[in-house]
Amino acid sequence: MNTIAKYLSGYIVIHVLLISIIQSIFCQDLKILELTLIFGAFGIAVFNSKKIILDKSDIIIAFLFVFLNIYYTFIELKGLIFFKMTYVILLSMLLSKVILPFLSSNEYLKKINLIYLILLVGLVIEYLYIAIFGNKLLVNLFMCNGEMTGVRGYIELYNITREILPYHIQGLNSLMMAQQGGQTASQLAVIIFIWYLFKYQNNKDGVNLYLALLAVLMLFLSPTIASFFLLFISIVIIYLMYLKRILNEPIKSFSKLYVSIFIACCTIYLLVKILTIKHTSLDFVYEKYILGSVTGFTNFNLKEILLGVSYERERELFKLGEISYVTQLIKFGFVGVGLFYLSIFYYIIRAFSNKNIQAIVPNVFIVGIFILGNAHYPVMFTLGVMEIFVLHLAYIIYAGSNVKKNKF
Amino acid sequence: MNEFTLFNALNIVKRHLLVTIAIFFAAYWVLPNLNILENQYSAQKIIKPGSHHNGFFVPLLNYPDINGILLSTSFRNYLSEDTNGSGVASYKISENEVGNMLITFKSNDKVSIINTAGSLMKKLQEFDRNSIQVQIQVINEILDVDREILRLLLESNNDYFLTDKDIEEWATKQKEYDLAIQDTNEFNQKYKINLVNIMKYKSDDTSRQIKLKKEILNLQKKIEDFELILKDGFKPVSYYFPVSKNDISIYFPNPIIFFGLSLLMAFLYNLILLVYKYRKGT
Repeated sequence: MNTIAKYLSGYIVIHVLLISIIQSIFCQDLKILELTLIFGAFGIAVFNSKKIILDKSDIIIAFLFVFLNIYYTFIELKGLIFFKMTYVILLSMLLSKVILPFLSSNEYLKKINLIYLILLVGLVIEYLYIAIFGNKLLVNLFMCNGEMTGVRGYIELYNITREILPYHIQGLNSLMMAQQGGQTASQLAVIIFIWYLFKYQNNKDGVNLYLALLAVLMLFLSPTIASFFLLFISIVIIYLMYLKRILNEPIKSFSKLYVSIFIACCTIYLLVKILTIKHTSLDFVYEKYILGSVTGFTNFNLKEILLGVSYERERELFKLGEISYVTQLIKFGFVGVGLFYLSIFYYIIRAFSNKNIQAIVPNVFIVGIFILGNAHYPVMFTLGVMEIFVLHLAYIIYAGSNVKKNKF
Repeated sequence: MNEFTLFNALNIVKRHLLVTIAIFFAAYWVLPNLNILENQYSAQKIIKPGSHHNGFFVPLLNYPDINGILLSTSFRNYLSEDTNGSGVASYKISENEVGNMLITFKSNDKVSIINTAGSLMKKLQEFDRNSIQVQIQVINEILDVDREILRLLLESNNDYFLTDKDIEEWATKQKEYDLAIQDTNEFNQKYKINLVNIMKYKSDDTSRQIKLKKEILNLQKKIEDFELILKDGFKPVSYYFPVSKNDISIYFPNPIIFFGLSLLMAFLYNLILLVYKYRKGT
């Protein structure tokens, strides 16, 4: 089983790093591989069923997801719209049973580390390549007709830095390609920053700090407004965690506080400036993107609030799809969205109940940032990125499971 | 504490597979007969846009107009008043790929679908009829003038008619005149001019008559045409075929929904079973 776990984790690393590239080269939607992966993991679990320990919560959550899929598919006749959410939870659950118990935490975290390292190096190489040679070759190689093939591949992205820097380099696509426009690369940069910052905090290895800073640099070189918000929130949370640690220490001077306030003010000013680059004012942003996305809810009946609306009604009531949470609420209702996010929340709480675990905080942090990223485009539900999210969630599920508890 | 493995779970599911299948089929057989789900009916009709005669343009309702009217709240209020308490069915208009306007009615009551469809069309036709009425007035004014001209032409038909009696009378007078004068013996000199005159008069009158008759016939044809335009030239919006109970079909619940519900029951049985065994086993 150890060998299977090792190979499966290795396959997932390759899957994450290559799936978007292969998909873009051949302009073929490879979503079918998601099914293969989940059935493969399930097959391995069944094959080694005596070694796979289940929790009651696993059974209940898995069944609830099956119920909702049956409901949306056969009763609401909406097709497999709930598949991605089901895939994320069920695959995380399966990986937490099939890989993690048979692999040391360090080995598992190394795999995630490898993914982030390659993604970061990929971002740097992509930026340098575009700066030196331009993006023509990349576009020719990886760009697809999104409407015809369902795959966008590599696209020329607008880069806000054009307004600030004296030269113009298109926005980065990353190894995951621009499945959600510029959001994919920039959100991944934020995640990579968090990952290496926590790694640095853990082992004080300067390389990790440099990698974290490099990720931030890549974010600044190809930013998006949503990713800036994510970075801001991440820094605030990291600072609060730092504050919690030094809470009991006596205050020697307020100089750091003044600096913090100054930085916070600068950041808020910068965020407002970035938000108003494209639009005239914050009022306009609020009216267009926030109000425009939520006003349709006033016409919902109770069933629609709970279980979502049909596609036709969605088109009739909502003109914008800029906030992913709202889109999910429209499609799945509070029950569907609630089941997904509450399941994750439950697993996080359960993981924290187990005190003897390393690296739970960065994993939870990253899962949280991925989820927060849904405030705009659903980057965490794109091919490849979804599997990275799954790897983190699987770790969290495993950390709180009975198997892990019994180990200590 | 015993561990509950996937192996245990699969074994339990396997042992109860027959019961699960039985529950599924029993549910699939029983559920449709229980009438626990309220029937939902739907009817789809094709809307035929109104038409007008080529010579008389009328701004009749098209897809954007009808869509706009149907979306307005006041139209909904009108329907609820007009359907006499039978309830207003929900409706939605769309355009298919060949450009036909499709309207779909949905309700839990067949009567409300028929009433809503009827009231809806009645109101839409009102819009078209108002537009058509303007052109009908124009045509009626033209017709009034044409009929008056026709009357005048018909009345003046015989006024200048040169009959044989007129010629005989005229010839007799001419003969008397010629006999009275008798200043020449040359026949040709004496009668030729007069014969030519008669021939000319006759010919002119014949042409005039033909022209008049032609004009009358043309005017009569024109009036007939206008009357035909009034009768068939303008058609308000309508359904291709009238709404009848045969158009209405049940769309909910359908066999797929019962299949889904049966599947849910079968899975629920397994969930309860597994949770029970889990508690018992651990």
